[in-house]
Amino acid sequence: MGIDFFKRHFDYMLLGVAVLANLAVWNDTVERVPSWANVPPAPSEVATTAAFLGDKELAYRSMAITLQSFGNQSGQVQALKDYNYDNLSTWFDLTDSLDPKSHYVPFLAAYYFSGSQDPTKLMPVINYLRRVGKYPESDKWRYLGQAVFLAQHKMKNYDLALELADELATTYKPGMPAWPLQMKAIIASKMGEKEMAYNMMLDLIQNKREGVDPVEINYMVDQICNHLLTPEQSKTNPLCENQKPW
Amino acid sequence: MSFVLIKYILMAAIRDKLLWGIAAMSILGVCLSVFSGSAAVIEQNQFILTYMAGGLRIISLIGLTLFTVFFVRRSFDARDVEFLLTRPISKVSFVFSHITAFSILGIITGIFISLIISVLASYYQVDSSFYLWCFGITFELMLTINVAFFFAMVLSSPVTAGMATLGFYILSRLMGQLLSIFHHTPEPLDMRDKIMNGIGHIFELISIVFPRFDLMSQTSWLIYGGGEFSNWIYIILQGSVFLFLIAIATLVDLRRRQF
Repeated sequence: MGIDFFKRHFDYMLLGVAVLANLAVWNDTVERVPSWANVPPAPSEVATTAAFLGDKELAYRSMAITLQSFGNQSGQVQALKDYNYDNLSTWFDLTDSLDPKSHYVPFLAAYYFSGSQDPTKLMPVINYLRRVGKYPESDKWRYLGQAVFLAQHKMKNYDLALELADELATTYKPGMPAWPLQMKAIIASKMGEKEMAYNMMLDLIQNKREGVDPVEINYMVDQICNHLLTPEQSKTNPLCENQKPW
Repeated sequence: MSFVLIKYILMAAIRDKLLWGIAAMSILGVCLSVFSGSAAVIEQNQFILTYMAGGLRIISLIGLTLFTVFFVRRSFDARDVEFLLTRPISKVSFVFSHITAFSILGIITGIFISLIISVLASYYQVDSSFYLWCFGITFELMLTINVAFFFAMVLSSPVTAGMATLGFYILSRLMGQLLSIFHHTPEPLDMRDKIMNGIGHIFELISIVFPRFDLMSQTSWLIYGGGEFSNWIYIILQGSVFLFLIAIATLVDLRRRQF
């Protein structure tokens, strides 16, 4: 009876053993989640382009989204101060070599990665913005303006800020706002961080809307109304009429 | 050329729901592109357009390749080829009718992709470069589907024929990259440089029979423009010359085949 039962249900027993074995393995692996390995060095341009079958634009867009997603994967959010900014600069270089015309990665560098809680790490971001800011395409100069802002108010490096302001003045072309020309004087006047950011953004919104992505304009309006101005100032500022408070 | 045979192949494509399949997968591709592109902070349209262009290209290519290799191998297995060749259709007519029919399928698919892309691309006002991209992608599909026909005639397994076609496509897209890697050192200093240059020369020889797909339809044209008149000439010239090569190679294989 016992042997017959064993023979008849041998397959079910084997199935039970297989399920138990899987359960044992699962018990060990269930706690293992991907850990934050920090920003890795970027792959080479050739390898990246090859991975996207020679389509440089597709490679650029995919790498840009990867760059944006660093530190925010599998439900783990990391502080920017913990990022490896030296490796991050290799990603700036990679994306720059794939598509130097796009505003996407310069925007991320200027307004996202520059927000590190540790300003001593910002030199790679400033160097990148300094390079991009001198590209001949219209509107690229504003990244050099952002580099000046970061050097002066985040890194507190006034000599570097003056040097960058000189370079910014050389990018001036008719049709641009006046502050790129006046940047040296603005730095010398020791204008406050918020006041300088407010003036730069407001001038850009009012005088240089064409060619700037509407999302970027919205971002600047949000920065002005929710971060630079006090709630009382926001209420009276016409720019913030339709802006939702945070 | 036999119009009846061309019609027969096009009917087979309709019967196999090839174009419906590509359309359905393209809708999925568009949805995924919109979903992925929307994750971008700015330049969302550029992201969506790039993902769509890259995704639809691969979806169409796989669809056309699978249809072609399975259709041709099925024709051999069901002895349709032998039957057709007993009719008053020459081997030359057989090959060129197939190439014409497959090219028509490539052109229809190219037009379909171009129509989808035009919805977003019209935003960038890069008219001539957009048309150039459409022209390039159509030629790319047309050449690849005929390469699939060649491999399906030469190789007896549809799986190996399909894999060979995809391998050919990948190499054609990467040929520019490979040539640039292996020509990195024009003046070799050590043995490694000499070996790399040697491989470079081998690749140069291989590249004779590979069209440069990386030059035929560049996604950046859709966003920044930049396509030139010489690109049109290049696509026509490269497309015609390579189509001629693949047609003759298929014909040579068929003429030597023992039924």
